[in-house]
Amino acid sequence: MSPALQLDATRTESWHVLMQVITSAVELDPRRRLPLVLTSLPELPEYAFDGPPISFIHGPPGRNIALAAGLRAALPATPLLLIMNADAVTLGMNHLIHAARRNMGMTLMILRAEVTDKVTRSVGKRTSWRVYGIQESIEKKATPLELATSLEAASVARGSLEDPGELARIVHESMLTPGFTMVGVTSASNLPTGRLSSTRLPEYFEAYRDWSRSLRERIAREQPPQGPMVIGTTDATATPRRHVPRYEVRIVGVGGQGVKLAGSVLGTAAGELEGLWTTQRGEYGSATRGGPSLVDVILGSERIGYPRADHPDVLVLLAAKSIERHAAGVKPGGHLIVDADRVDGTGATAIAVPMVRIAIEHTGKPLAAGIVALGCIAAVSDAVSLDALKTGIAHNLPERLAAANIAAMVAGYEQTRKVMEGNRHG
Amino acid sequence: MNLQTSVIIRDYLRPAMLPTTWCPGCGLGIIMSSIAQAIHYQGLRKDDVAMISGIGCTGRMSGYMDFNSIHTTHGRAPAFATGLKMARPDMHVFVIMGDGDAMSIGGNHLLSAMRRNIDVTAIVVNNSIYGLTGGQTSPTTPRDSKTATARHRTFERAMELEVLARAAGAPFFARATVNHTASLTKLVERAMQISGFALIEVISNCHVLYGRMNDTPEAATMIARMDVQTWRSTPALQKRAERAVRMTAAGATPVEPEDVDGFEGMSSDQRKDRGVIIENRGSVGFSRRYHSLLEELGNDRRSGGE
Amino acid sequence: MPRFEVMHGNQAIAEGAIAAGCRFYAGYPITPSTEIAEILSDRLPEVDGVFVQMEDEIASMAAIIGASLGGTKSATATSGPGFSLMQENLGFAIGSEIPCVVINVQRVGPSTGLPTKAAQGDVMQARWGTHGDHPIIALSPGSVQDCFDLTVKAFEFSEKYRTPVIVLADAMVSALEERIAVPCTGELAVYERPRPTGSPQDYLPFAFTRGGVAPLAPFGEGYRYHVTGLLHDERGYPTEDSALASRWWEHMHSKIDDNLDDILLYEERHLDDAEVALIAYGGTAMAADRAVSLAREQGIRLGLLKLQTIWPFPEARVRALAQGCRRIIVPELNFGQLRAEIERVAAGATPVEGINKADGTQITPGEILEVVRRKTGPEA
Repeated sequence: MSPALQLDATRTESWHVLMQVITSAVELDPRRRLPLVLTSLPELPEYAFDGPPISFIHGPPGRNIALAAGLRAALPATPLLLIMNADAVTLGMNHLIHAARRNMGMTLMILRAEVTDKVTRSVGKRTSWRVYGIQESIEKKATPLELATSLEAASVARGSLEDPGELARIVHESMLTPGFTMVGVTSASNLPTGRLSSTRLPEYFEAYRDWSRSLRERIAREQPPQGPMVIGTTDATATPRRHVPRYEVRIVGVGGQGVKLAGSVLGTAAGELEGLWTTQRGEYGSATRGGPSLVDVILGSERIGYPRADHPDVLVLLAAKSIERHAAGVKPGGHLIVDADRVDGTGATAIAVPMVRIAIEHTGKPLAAGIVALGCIAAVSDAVSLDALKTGIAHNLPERLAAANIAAMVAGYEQTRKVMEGNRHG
Repeated sequence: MNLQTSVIIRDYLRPAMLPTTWCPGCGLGIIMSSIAQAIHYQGLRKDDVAMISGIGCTGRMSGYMDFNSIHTTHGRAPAFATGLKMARPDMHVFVIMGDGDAMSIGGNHLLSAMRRNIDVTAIVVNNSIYGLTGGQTSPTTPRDSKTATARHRTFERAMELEVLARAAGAPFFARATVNHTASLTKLVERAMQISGFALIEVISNCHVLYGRMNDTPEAATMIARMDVQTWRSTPALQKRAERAVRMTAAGATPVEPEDVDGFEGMSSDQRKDRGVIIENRGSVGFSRRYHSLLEELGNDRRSGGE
Repeated sequence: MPRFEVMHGNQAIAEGAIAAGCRFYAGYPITPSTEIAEILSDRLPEVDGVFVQMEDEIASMAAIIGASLGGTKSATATSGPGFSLMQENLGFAIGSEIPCVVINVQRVGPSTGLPTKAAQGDVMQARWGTHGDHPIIALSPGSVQDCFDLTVKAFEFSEKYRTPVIVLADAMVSALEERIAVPCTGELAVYERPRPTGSPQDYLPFAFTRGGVAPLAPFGEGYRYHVTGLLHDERGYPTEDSALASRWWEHMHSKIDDNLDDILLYEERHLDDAEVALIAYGGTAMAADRAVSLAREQGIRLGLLKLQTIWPFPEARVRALAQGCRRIIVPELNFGQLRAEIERVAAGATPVEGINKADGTQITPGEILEVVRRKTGPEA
């Protein structure tokens, strides 16, 4: 019986041959670098540990390839030797193709490669669990060597257990090659051995490190270091300048009205400039598809905890949908601000401001409607100041857009004041 | 789209599931309409067709069409389809997947199904990005693209579905783009006539995510550019595939180490963008063979007088 | 002095991981956790770390185990369906005692469920998701501040007790933006993995210590050893010896059970005089906290035990609470996964009620108060 078949038959024999091959491969390396061996073969015999002092990982079938990816990221220089069986092309096939196409540095020895090359069984013959052997006889090849070659692995080779010396040389050369290398181990005599194909593409994590190094250099050039993060503050604004009880803001609109942006600006203004605690959450429709959008911002001198504006101090409605449902929740003494063109506020004591129209007038787009709403909010409440909101806009928007948005917000503020005056006198 | 076509399509949709979740201008609607037309022209009854999809924008398609449909888990559609086809060999089974679905998480199932040559018509919609989750890198994202997980641009090479189809021995592989609806419909019809794993890669546009991050935010311009740049090069891929077969065959001689032609720097005349790339009309699918073998076995046993 | 920043929960988790020294991340896109990957794809290369998007969640989990064995603190983030796929290799990391952090931003399940909606249905999966008995640590952030702080803690616990630690977040906190306190560089005491000091010949990587763990040597630094998913002896060599197996179990359980004072994290509010106590965790704890404020304004003696560590379960604290109050109410976005545990511990000392749903909406303070009033009012 050939050693290759013994690999399958007796555990001890297979490890005996494999350890010889690994030992010889290490001896061929002038630096005697020991590989880290990952395998899913049946358990290692004790004497495997009496050979060269090698670390072993006995990983779950098929997963060693993905384990090796993580190891390669952490250990750029250690040779990784995977010894796998059919698990490389069953459970592990997805890991195999992606490690191969990305050229992640590891050497994969596939045992019994000739068996996975071609399986033919006569119909009706009993096998262990596929009762009639039908399935294997009509399945196409599971061809690890072909796959790896197609995916441009760094090197694909084949060796025979009949010639452990040559196999050791092949394993040694494969381990020296950067990138994903595969060694098919066969016992058939009619198959070519030696290196079958190779490419010279960069190893994945080497390429990653090159890329990330140049990225860091560029960042260092472009932004001189100013601490770990640029936003945030450590100064006295940590303690709020004045006491603000929990203040709930809700803005309701549709996708494309900048509802989410308004929440971010208000959050920045109150949280980073006024020194208040804030939360912001919402449900956002996309600008492409429309759909309802809602943002809740809660401000206060104490940690917020619960982030929903179930009973808002101020509610802004930018779109007509469900005014009743939302308006009913406004806190007694709170404010309801509605878009004068889109929402019928009669019946409720609403402040009607044409927020979307103001947004389009100043910026050409309805996207600034949420920003206009912030001006309206500043007009009815002193929880957040207009100045802080202006700075908040500058933080959240590119410079070329900030001025027009600030103008739109101020217009919303003034219009709201005017309407309130009118309501008072009217 | 002419009136007749739109009437045909309406007949194959589920009004209660509409409108779709797809963005305006998305190529998925075109693909869905082509599939409906192909089934219509092939004269299949709705009851005899199963539509099995994975997860993602593409995965929603099975729900919009009025067939026996399963919206399965991420990447596993080919495995669900294998089960259904083996249990109901009379059914025509479609597998509908996106690029991330088919080639990333579902790579193993896709390869195994092709290798086994299970009798299904598989459509892989390749828009080079994960759409539903917001534009992350997929295995087919071209190098140097911006994505949500590579805002400084991708540095790895894209994966080629054709390579996998060749390596796993799919009997039919074709490539289409959403810019050529009539030809797409014909390709689907042709694939439906194959016994075994017939695969069509449809290059589609995600202008909303991929396009916006990569300077083609409009559907029309993205589709036009895609059409020119369907830079999956068949001759080079074929060469690679042949080399792989040459060296594993019994009696073959070792191949000298060589560099594989890269996609970059390839001249345009080396590129064959679309159409049928592999077609093996003699293929007999797994299900058909399995069931006929079972029949033979039954006959043997009866005649053997056990 | 800390800085104050406005960030969302996913960002706080990502920044917490960086602050804790995480330098390897492997993952796969899935709503609603994808932002963690997106942020780390930007941030890790800036701090000389590695981000890699793997082919699926099975591979992601395997890759972080590999990186951890290479000596790098590592993490992955996912959501329901991906967490299911990670269970196989999660078990491998538990059994072979490899530190790593798994973040699961829960969504409504089973299967694809409601991908964008908050839920807390993976509480028992976090405890028993992988096969076989096993110890586990799971932390549940109840605010954006918690997202940062508990991610840092997760890395500390995983290194200290050589175990995967699960951060069981939910879309209520992961998508929430909040002003939080972030330690400046040098202010955070980062727990570093201890290194073995003895000779490699005497190194026992899996020593069956009671109540502790052996230092884990990174591969490639002279301490060579064997890692296996099989039950193993102190060297890591597979064994079927039942005496060894029983010593192994004792070690595995005691490394957690003997350190509960360190591992169990919770916050208390108004429990000293509470007639009714809420026990809540994750995003639901925010509503419970608000309900306590509103109840106190109305003169109702309501208190809150907010659990940050949910596994191991804080049995002693809950038992004491059950003996000191008249009723326990447990709001959670599932159908009573943690309530059953609380009932077991309360063991008849006090009635335990649940407020439960998993329809994509959240539990509000109003809903909690209504139940509290019904149970404490004159008609109760």
